[in-house]
Amino acid sequence: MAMMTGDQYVESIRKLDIKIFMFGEKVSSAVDNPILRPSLNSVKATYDLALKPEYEDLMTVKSHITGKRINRFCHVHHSTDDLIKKVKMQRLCGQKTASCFQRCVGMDAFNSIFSTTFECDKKCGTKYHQNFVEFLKEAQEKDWTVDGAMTDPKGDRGLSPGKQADPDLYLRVVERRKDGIVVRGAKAHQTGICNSHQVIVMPTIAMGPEDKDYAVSFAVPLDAENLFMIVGRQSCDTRKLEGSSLDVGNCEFGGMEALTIFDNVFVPNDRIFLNGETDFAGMLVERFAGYHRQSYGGCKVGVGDVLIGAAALAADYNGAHKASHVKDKIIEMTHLNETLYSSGIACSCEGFKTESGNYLIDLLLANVCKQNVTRFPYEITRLAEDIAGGLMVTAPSEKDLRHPKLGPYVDKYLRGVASVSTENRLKILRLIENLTLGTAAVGYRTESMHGAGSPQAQRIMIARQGNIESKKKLAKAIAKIE
Amino acid sequence: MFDPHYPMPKRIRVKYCGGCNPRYDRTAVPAKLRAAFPEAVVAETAGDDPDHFVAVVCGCVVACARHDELNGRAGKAVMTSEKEYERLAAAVRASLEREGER
Ligand SMILES: Cc1cc2nc3c(=O)[nH]c(=O)nc-3n(C[C@H](O)[C@H](O)[C@H](O)COP(=O)(O)OP(=O)(O)OC[C@H]3O[C@@H](n4cnc5c(N)ncnc54)[C@H](O)[C@@H]3O)c2cc1C
Ligand code: SF4
Repeated sequence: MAMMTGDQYVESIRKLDIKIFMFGEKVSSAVDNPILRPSLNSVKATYDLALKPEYEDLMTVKSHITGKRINRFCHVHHSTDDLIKKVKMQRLCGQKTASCFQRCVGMDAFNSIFSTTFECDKKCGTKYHQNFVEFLKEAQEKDWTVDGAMTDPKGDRGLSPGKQADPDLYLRVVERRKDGIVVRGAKAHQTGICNSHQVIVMPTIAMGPEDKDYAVSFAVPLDAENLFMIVGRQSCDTRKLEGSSLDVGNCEFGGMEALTIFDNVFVPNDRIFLNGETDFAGMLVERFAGYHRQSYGGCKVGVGDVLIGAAALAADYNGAHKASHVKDKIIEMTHLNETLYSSGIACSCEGFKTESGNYLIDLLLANVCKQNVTRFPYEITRLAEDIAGGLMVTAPSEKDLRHPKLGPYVDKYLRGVASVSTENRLKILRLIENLTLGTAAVGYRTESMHGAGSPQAQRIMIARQGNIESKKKLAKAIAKIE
Repeated sequence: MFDPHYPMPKRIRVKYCGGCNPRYDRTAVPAKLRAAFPEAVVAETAGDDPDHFVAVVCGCVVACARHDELNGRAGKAVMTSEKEYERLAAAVRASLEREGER
């Protein structure tokens, strides 16, 4: 089986004994929990879309290892065309789910570990690349969803891993055995982890020789012993428990994050991809961050497409769609959204081959892409809120709309243009609320800011890659300065 | 076994682009082709029989569908906008008529 159906994916997650906690209690499974189910549905969409002929060109690809057709989320990019199609696939998935569909972090981990292990083995004589290729082969064959775990809790940001008051604030090796290692620590903000099959761990920062125990990368199954998750709250999350599809804005899809704890987890030797080679921690971080900064030039754009569509509908339903400033605001939203897409595509077109044979994006352009992502979705949401009007945050509940006595008043007084039902108007306003300040704002706003690194992390990379000396030379040549 | 008195219906293979931002409903194209050419089989996936004609249906002018390895015996055409449907249908029609004359 190289590709699962969405339903097979759901059943495969149901079978895993994943230890999830939420509101102080153990959750029996992510599959049947109303708060977690939308997140699972978003990942399910990546399986369902891959089996539709009209999306196969983006969603599937031939494995460079086995030659079999696989889901692109399990692929290692082997051309700039692959890199471009990755971004287009992410835009498509964003359009279809209007949320974070979570599978990209694993894909970005695959690609960064593939090239880093190759170069590490070459220099250090290790065998990590073979370990990783075997893991990847299995991931492709079983069509796994894999969580990419990079971010440590980090404690005091001014101190390196080994200098923290609590040494576990960065995940580390606590025991080296003949058959493997034991690790302890946590990974924060883990996207989609409650509905993944496996988790790949990577270091979170470049490291010096003194931080050997922290320079570790590996994969374990989600039901590994001593691994558990505590689900993160999202604003409006408990609305999902009320049984109203209108009030949640997006009743089918969503995203989730969890604090993931490795409380002395054993990792067998054949699943270790880095173990003490501190020189390569920085390379792995830089490459993963680069791929993930490219990812946002696709996924956030797809979600933006939905938000722009929702704002345009809100204007239609309000009867304000002909106003020139409204038309101009929709143009501005589109301009910002397509600018994000441009840099996602540009860093892919300028991609290049690594020593291992896979393709890496242009890091300068990927960082420019993500820097724009830290800003433009905020402006797009501001414009959407402007067009939507105040009702997006003051509308009564679905229960009131359906109430025998109150319903007629809600229906009468909250109607916009006569030809559109009040219910449809409220549906669009709730979707805008969901994306701008409800559960989906986690993915569309704050994740745009911090996901794949906070804005300053990109500025450091832009400074490093900006080629300023050459720019000075250009200026001197024009100004005739010797 | 293949019986020349009852020839197999010709296979029109529709190959889509990935559909990241299509400017029209690409999935309406095979339905239109089926209505226009009831004598042919319009298929959206690869099959065992050879393709008579390949219709590459792209959502926009970027036309990024990968079709280099796909070739119909009687040809191939690419469409990138809704208004190009008539041109595509004409190419399919011509290919079917050409075969009929042989
Ligand atoms: C919704 C969401 C989903 C995410 N998904 C994933 C995931 O799936 N996998 C994963 O591994 N990670 C994930 N992340 C984590 C993301 O990469 C981090 O949020 C990001 O790297 C910032 O780290 P932080 O949240 O700890 O913020 P902090 O590091 O606390 O940053 C806060 C501020 O402090 C500044 N700062 C921090 N350290 C320093 C320093 N040393 N010097 C100067 N300034 C500093 C930052 O620039 C920023 O302005 C996700 C994050 C979010 C919000
Ligand atoms: S934020 Fe975007 S790139 Fe990251 S996992 Fe979610 S959809 Fe994928």
